[in-house]
Amino acid sequence: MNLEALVSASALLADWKVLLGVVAGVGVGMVVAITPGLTGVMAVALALPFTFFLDSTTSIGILLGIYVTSLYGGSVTAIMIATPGTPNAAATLLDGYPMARQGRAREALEMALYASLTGGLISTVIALAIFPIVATFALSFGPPQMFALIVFSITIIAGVSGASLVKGFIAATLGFLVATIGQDVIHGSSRMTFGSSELLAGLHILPVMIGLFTVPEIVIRCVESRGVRLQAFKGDLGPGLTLGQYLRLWPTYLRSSCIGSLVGALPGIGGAPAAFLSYFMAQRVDPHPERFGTGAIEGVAAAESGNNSVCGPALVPMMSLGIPGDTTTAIIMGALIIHGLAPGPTLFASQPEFVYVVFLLLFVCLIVLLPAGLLAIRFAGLVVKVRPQILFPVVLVLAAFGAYAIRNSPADVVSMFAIGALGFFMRIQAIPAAPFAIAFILGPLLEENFRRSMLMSGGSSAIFFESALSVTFLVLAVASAIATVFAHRRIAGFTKLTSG
Amino acid sequence: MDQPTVGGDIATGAACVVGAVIGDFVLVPHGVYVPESVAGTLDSPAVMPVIMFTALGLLGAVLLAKALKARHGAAVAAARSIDDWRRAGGMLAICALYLGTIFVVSLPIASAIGLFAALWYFGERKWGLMLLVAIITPAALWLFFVYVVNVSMPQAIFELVNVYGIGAEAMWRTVA
Repeated sequence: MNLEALVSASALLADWKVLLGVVAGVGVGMVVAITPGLTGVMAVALALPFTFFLDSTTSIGILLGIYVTSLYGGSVTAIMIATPGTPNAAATLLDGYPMARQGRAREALEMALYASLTGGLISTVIALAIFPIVATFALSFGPPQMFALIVFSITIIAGVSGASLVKGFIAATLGFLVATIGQDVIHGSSRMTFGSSELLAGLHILPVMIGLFTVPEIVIRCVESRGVRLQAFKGDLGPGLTLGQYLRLWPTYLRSSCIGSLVGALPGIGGAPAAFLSYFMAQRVDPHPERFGTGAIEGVAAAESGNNSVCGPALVPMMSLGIPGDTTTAIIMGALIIHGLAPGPTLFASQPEFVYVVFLLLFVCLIVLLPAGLLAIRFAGLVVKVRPQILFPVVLVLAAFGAYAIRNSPADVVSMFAIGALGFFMRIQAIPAAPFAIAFILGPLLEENFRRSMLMSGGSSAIFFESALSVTFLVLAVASAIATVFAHRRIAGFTKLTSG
Repeated sequence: MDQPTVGGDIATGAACVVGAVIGDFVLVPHGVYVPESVAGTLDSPAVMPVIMFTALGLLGAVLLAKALKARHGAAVAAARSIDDWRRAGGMLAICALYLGTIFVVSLPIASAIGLFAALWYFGERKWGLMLLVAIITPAALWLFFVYVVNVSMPQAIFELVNVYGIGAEAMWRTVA
């Protein structure tokens, strides 16, 4: 580590304009994240022109503020109204929303905030400390290795299948199928679009997540409202998180941060798979895995620290190799280029202090996120005061606006309601939504990397066994599948015991 | 309401099998364009849908078999009440109505209508409050998306205002 550069980078941050930029970025990011339909990518793209007139450090501060906060903020609506503000928050919803319904909303919201901060800080330290190693490691991932990693990730499905593995796999199959709608990534041919140009781009992840989780919840709450005075939450936000509860979950933060860092450093995967993978691993090692999905605070901690851990490592391939891992980092890379900085192998050698500035800015963003998050929790308290007879219909309209705003397309509203109807029927048949969500997110990545590998090898599946990395992940996938089936039997046995 | 029943499992299993047959023999052949150069290879765009529809059919058959076996066993879960179904159907119908009106009167107006209907269906009976919420919520969301975050939204009633020469933007500027 270049200490001299680190010190001069720290000095660059001691400027009120930079700090104001970070605060503005975090503020914008929070608004974006708690509004379904607005994504971090959209906000970073919209903010980019405003940074042309600012210096490079302030500009990056604004963009990173938006990026970091948009990863966290979606959890607030996921916990309070079962509507993930961003796709990253879908895994947080699995335990966060049940916690809110049990009168433990503040506990869930605070855990989401502190876990996000902890995960973000740990992963930034990892990214900063092993910057060149992470970059090289990420570069060794070609399509076969990515395919093997995704196969390993897909074993999560069995872990979140609830009482019936068959139903979990049915949900996953439906998720994979829905993900195939649109233009084929390799040949560009249309699949299941039946002449609709609106469907060519495929179904967007956010309307699908809102449809899957929010619409069925609204319909179920409507059924429950028959003849009774519906109660959205028990009393107020409930008690807050204790220091003991927070400290007890250190292994979860560490594990999820490592997972998030690995996933974040790989191009094109993103926060949502990191959150689900972290959630699954937390469930796997927990002595009472059956609690997950019913309001386990460990689930919220794992998902949030996992999804926020992607941001630091996601910048590593961009900064060190000039390869942006996702759209947001591509826009940030554009901002760097506009300001005369050339991300790539020479950046660290030519301007090491700027590399440190970026990572130190991440720390600053995370620190500013703390008061912003606490403020968001205060506002979340207002939701409790709204009567459910008004709250849920308003959420329905908010969801529709959110779905529309993503691509200015009524087709996204149609897909939200269509998936909502499917989600409702799945829910009344106890077909879990989580495997559907995971399959929908990972399906296109799995298929794309499988087919790219096939193209590379001329159709030979031996390509998956040629590198140590892909063999390792495939072996881990088999071991994980076997272990998960055994663990599932244990959970199903426990469920039968407690319900019977 | 969200408790599975054996009858429901039978219906779900059967639906999966039927869906798989339709998928493999109708949807994939007619809905997936396969370039001749890759037809029948692992690189075909039809591979993933075919695998998934087939898997859906097999899983549906397993669920069906398990449910039929359970029906011959001891207990069968109680059927859901007709009222529950009616109420859920009503809410889904409101969603469908909302969706349909979006294409006729555009999102903001459809949201006001849909929201009013949903508020009533949820049991709210304070008409003044319902009207206020149904008008203010979509209007506030529309203004937020259009003027704060600069997202293009359908103009709906504001388009009519434009036609009559007043102009939504001028009106907004006056208000602001």
